[in-house]
Amino acid sequence: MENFIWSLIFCFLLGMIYALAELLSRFKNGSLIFQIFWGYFYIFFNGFLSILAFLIIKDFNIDLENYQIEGGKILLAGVSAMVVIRSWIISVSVPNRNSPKKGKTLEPSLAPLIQVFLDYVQKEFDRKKALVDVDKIGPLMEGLNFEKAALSLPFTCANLLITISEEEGKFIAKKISDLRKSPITNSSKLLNLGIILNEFSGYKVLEKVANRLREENATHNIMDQLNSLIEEFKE
Amino acid sequence: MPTDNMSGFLDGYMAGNIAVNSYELKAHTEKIRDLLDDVKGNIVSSTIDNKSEIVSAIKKFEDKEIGIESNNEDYYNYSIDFSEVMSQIKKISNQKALPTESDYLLKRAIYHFLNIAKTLQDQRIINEATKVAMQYK
Repeated sequence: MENFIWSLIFCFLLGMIYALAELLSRFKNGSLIFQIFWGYFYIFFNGFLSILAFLIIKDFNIDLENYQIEGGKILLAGVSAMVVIRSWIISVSVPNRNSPKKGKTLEPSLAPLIQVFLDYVQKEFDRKKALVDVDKIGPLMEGLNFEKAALSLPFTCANLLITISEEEGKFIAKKISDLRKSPITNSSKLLNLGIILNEFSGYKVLEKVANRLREENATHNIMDQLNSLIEEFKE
Repeated sequence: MPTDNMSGFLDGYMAGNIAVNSYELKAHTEKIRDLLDDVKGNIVSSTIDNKSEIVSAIKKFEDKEIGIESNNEDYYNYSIDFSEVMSQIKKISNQKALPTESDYLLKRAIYHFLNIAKTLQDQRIINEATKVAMQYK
């Protein structure tokens, strides 16, 4: 009995860790996930689903081939409960004890329910993130020159980060280029530039480099010079 | 590793910037080519000394392949070549034998070159563009 309880606990924890990893990979911001009630709910919900998957595996005596030992069942229930239960396609065959060939097939019906929760968490996350962006990034970028900031901030942020990739470089370049051409005000462009960079660098790195740029503003005039020359040579 | 990573990011950033603005860059480079072609015509029809040297330098620049497939290094080399040609033309631009219209054409070419520098956001190219513009200011 004691072993069974420990199995359920391990299963629950494994399911929660799996859900947390899923949320992190989707939202890429750990601290914000824990500021939303539905973030917690989703993690705990996954823990319970793992227990459910474990009980199904155990009680229905599902053929697991390499996972017949107790640890294997816990592992399978913990990490694949979501996959099995959420899937629209995968069905779980439950052998009939009297006639194994005429086993029942469980068609998972929790998929839409789980998707509703995931979508809700995502929407809540977006709203929360939007609030953080406006409240924190807006004032941080205020007073900077957009052209100067767009020239130097991406490079400084990238230089400080280890995991930023070539593909992300292309993505940022496209976003900033679109921003440069957009007919919005300098302060809106700055806010959006901050939001784009915050996605990759995180707020603390962005704060450091933006403040440093502010200090350098007095001497950093290369774009000013270029823009004034363009005006001069226009006609 | 951070250096490799930065290099990868920079390559991606530059490539992304060029890809997004490729048609705009193409328009500027074509304008420069046309304008320098007109300047070349003016030089050819003028009585300037040693004009063949400058004409062949312009022709060589015109033959440079720069387009949608070009990368940042291509544009940097293009900026160096443009800077060299413009320096050579500058040496003869004060000669009265050269039609005054050429001065306008050269300034238009510089304008397009400055815009290329602004679009590419590469400090090396911005420096070249600024250097050329300051000569003709």
